[in-house]
Amino acid sequence: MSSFKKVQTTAGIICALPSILGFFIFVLGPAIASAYFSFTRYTVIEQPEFIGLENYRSLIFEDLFKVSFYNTIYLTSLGVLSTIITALALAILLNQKLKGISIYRTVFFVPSITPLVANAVIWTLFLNGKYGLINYVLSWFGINGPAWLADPRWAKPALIMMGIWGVGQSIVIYLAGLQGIPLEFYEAAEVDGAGIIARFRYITWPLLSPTTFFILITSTINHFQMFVQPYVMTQGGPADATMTYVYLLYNKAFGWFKMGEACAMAWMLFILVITLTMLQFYFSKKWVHYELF
Amino acid sequence: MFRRNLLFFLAYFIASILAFFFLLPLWWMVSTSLKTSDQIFIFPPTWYPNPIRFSNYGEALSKINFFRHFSNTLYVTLMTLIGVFFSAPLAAYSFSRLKWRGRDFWFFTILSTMMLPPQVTMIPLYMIFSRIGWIDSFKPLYIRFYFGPPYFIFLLRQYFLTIPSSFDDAAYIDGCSPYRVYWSIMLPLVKPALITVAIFVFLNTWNDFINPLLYLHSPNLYTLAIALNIFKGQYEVDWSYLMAISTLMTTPVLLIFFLLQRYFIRGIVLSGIKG
Amino acid sequence: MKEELFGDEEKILVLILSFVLMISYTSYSYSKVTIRWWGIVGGPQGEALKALANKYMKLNPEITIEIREGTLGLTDVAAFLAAISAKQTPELLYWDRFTVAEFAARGAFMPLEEFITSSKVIKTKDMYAYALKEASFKGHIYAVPHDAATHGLAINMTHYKEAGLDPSKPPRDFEEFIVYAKKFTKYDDKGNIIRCGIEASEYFNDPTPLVVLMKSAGADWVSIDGKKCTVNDPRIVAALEAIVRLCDTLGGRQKLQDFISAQEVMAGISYFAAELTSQYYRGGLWLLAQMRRAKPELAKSVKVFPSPPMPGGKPKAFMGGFSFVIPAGTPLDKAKEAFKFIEFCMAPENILEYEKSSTKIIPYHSAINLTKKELQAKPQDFFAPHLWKDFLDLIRIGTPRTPTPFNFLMYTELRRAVDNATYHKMSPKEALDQAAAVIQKNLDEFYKKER
Repeated sequence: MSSFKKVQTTAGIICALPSILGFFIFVLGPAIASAYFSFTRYTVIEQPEFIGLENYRSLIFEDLFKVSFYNTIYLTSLGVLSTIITALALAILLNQKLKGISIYRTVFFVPSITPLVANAVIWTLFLNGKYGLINYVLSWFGINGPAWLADPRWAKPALIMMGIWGVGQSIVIYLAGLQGIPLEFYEAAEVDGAGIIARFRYITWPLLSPTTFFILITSTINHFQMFVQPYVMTQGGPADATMTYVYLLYNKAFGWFKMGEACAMAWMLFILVITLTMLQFYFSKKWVHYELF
Repeated sequence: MFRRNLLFFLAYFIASILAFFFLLPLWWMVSTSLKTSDQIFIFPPTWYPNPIRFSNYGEALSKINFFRHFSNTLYVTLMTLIGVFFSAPLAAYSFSRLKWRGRDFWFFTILSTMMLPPQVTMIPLYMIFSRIGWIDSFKPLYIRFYFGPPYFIFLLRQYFLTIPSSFDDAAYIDGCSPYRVYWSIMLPLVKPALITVAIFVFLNTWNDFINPLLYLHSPNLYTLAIALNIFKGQYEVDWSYLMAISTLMTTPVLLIFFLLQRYFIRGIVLSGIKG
Repeated sequence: MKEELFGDEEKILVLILSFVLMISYTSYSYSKVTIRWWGIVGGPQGEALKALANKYMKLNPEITIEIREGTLGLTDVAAFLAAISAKQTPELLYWDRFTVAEFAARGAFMPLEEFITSSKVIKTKDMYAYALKEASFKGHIYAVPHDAATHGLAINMTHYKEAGLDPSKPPRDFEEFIVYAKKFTKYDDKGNIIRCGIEASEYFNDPTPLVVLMKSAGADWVSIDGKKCTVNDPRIVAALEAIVRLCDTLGGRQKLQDFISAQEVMAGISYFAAELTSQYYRGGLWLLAQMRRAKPELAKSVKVFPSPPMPGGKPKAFMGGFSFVIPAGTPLDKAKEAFKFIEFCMAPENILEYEKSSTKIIPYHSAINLTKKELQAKPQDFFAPHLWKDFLDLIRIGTPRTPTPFNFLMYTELRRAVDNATYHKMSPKEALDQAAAVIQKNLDEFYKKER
């Protein structure tokens, strides 16, 4: 058995070697560099000047930093939740054996493919307070919709709605996961008289839990690094309502000659996200089931 | 039976309504690419072009060297695809099915590299590539993917983990090596996940903007996403040309997706298990 | 367990892939003198610049000018910063004069006095003072100003007549401007704006109208020595109060913001060029390019005046534009070649060609005289010659944005102040105090290091 262990270890290391090498070649150096810069005043043009913890200290007292942090927590918590729910619901829908389902699947992937500007234009048309489609639909129910992106109170919910549109990638991941669930399970459950909800509760959800876990982790990381939406559509406005953490970081790094502070922000985010991820991995033992059959 | 029909109908209905909304950006892109310039400036915007102006395509194509940029984009995409397929499943297999000391540490380390915003490592990474002399070449765009992209490793690991351990056990009793298990048993079992990876790699590389902008300086190396800049000015955008080229650029991705999604048919994994 | 991983189809695919792999790309080699030129964006300006480069290469076959297609915004700055840290900067840059000083202050650009003093074509005396000021920092000249766009109040004369106003008598000051703006603005039955008396986007996307008002009241955003941020000067607070009053008069910031949110859909051109707004407070020469493309006939009913000042102030025409810049560390022989090309762009025939196709002007006395003569001799060569004349007249009241080591940050903070004040999150005074505190902290840090 010990020789089996040896074979496993050797094979394990060999198979993981390219990735481990990649970590040393492409990641470690730049990561250490950025960690060092976080303790310096660094404009990129000039040499970095060591200032200890000054960047971290001044960030904690900066208003805009606090605002961006709040915005990002808001967008992440709601955004991740809505991504998982919509992606799962749509994936189950698209997993039905319906005629022309391949066309539907492609359609739901469309916003992930089309150029950003086209998406941005459509969203401005959707979200416009006066003639926007969303408020038009709301008016059927007698609701006078807000001005969404023009209203500081509604800009963040608007961004979350836009995020739902980008679930194409998560749908595809779920679809691939759904292929792993043996049809026999459902057939047996149906014989036992289990309804749709029971089947979802006892078969689909637990068997998809590794996939859900993946989407939970990656989507959390992505939301914490949300950048494109404020960059393309709102420039952090109105009144800082969509100033996200990484959008602020980007401005500091390349607009305001504060690469040092940007690196400090990056590392603070890193520590937060890695803690959250470790917690998620820890709690995943309770609800993620691998190898059910 | 009636209930089943009703469910089917409901599914169609919901899917159709949602599909309509998801199709709008595509529709807007294509219709704008066919509009005359005075139609583009109508307010509120019109949803369909009238008259249709196909010559936008010809004019837009005459402004950029489309086939050059197209083949550049294709080249970078294919090279990336090969890199991902070489390194990601292998690492995922190691991190999920093989038992060795330090495995979880390395997995988590590699996963954690996703958590540092790329904006701050961009310049140090650029310096590394500049030192090797790879600036203004395609290499910095794809070489990273030959060394384990964390997102895809994690994705594939999740799928490898769902395969029952009885599979490898049986193979090891038959005297198979871990490499044999990887190639002949594990890879075929995660085919839907591999397809997913292929789709994502294709999509992300095809549309990538930041990295080509940073690393490609000579016009003859531009990918399509960069070449499109020519239509964007400081005070005005050539929407119809921009959208014409965008349509040409998007079509292959749509086609690839349409062709590959047929692999998402229930039972592929099972048939593997049964065999 | 006999399932093959790859079917025949897949095998063929792998073969094709390997074939593609074998066709390797060779890296680009430089055989002649190459000037790498960055910072050019698309549109009519980009086309005009590329035409100049092509013409130069035809006349000088031993020179290659390699243009890197750029983008607006910070992504391009990031690329330049990356090139600096890798010591691979291009030999020539086309740079917004607004941020020349902050890069020069940190040593990114080469001082150009020596080139300019020995040049027969480019003379500092010939430059308009405002352009020279923007190109300089601490006694050195870091940029050769190339183009400029004067800004003034553009009005839609048809809308004026509709409202019963005389289009030859524009508002005399900003208070009157507010009254006029209200008269032009039209609402639907729910109170939403359908046509607007102001080009609303210009007040919120960047704070330039605030800056123009500031200048007209005789105030500036930093003290004369540049070390103290003065954006909370009472005159600037009054200017921001006026902008808040303007928004509130027209129905509030939110209504205005909602009105402009579809600007993207408007093909990236201003609402003014689409006849949806009646007055453009700081309409620039670029309006001509927009009208030329979208609505050529509109030009006939447009007129341009100096932007109305703060009550009691003097009208000022804000002027922005691009410059040629040579990055620090460029080898001297390459820098000389680059400068030769800059001189070529300033040759009279090239000036006129550039101006006509980009609808921008060259801010040199000799060039403006040349343009005025050409405009009289061949008005048919210019799109909307009467508007060209209006815009050229504005140069005499042209004013620069004072160079500081943080102009980009200054604009971000002022934009946030406009946001905070117009959304009534803060009073104009509080909003500008906040902006001043942020900028002051940065200035202190900068000058502490400089000593």
